[in-house]
Amino acid sequence: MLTYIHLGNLVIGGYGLMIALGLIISVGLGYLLMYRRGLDADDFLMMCCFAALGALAGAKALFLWTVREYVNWSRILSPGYELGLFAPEGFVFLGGFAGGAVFLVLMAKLNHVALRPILENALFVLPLAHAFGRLGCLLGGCCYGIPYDGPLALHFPEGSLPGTEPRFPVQPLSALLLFILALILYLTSRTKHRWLCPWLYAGLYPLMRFMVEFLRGDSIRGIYATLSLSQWLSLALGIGVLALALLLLRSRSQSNA
Amino acid sequence: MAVASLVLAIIAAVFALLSIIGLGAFTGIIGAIIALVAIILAVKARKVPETKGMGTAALVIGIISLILNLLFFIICVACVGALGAAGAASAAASAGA
Repeated sequence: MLTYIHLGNLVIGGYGLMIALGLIISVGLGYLLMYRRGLDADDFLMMCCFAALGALAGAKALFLWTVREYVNWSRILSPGYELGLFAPEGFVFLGGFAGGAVFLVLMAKLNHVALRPILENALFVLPLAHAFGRLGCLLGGCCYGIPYDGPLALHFPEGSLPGTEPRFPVQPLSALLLFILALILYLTSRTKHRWLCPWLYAGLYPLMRFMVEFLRGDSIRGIYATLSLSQWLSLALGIGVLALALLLLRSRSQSNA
Repeated sequence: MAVASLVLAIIAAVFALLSIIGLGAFTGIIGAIIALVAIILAVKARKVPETKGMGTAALVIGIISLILNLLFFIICVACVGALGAAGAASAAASAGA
């Protein structure tokens, strides 16, 4: 299992490498696509940065909430503390998603940037970058699957987080599903129905995450009433999106009548 | 705006350099945040014709710094590495007690 790449004296974390690759490829593709479609690519880049700042804050906040029993709050600002605010590890995607979305909307309003063309044309960058992140999890040995000894089972090296027990390949599966979601969003963005992109993402991602969570073996993240925190959040997001879609459809049919 | 973006981009580049030579355990995440702010300011500077050149320079340095900071120090998003360490430490403490 490749976890670190050694280049002379330099040591590059596999996860960091995949995140950097994911960012370069996804944001680069989004930038090019916006530019080729005659939209403001610089605005897209700025909104990506705002979303990233919000996502960092949200992902860290949710992580700290899930591990609050273990955190020594007096050391929260200490640089070397592994559960501290500045620790390079410990982020939760759904917290990042919520933080990023809230900050994105807020900053778009403050900077007078139209979010709709960005979401309709370049939303595919989000699952694309996320898919690279999942491949990074595979390299880092985190976010691992349930114990499983069938075909394609993953055998992690001794001393890694999941231990030596064979595991279900949940990280490659998540990455594959996210690549498919990115492809669906990209293909939809090429049609006249590109307004569907945000709805497709907000509907399909929670569904996918809810199902995949049953195959995750890192239950140390917290299980509440048989479901993980991510499953509860996915459920809430899915129901919220469905309710909003129904409400919009109803108001549209009423205005047409 | 342009000067601020360039200064922040250079600071982020210094943080990236610190990450590369292994000084400071938390420089990566701080460097990444500074680089993000530098990129935002650079984009705004590029919208003004007089500061477009400086904005572009800040944008390029900011993007390179962001990638380097991420490359060398972010280890695992949505991971339980820290939680596992905390759990192990607390288990060891209970066993010791």
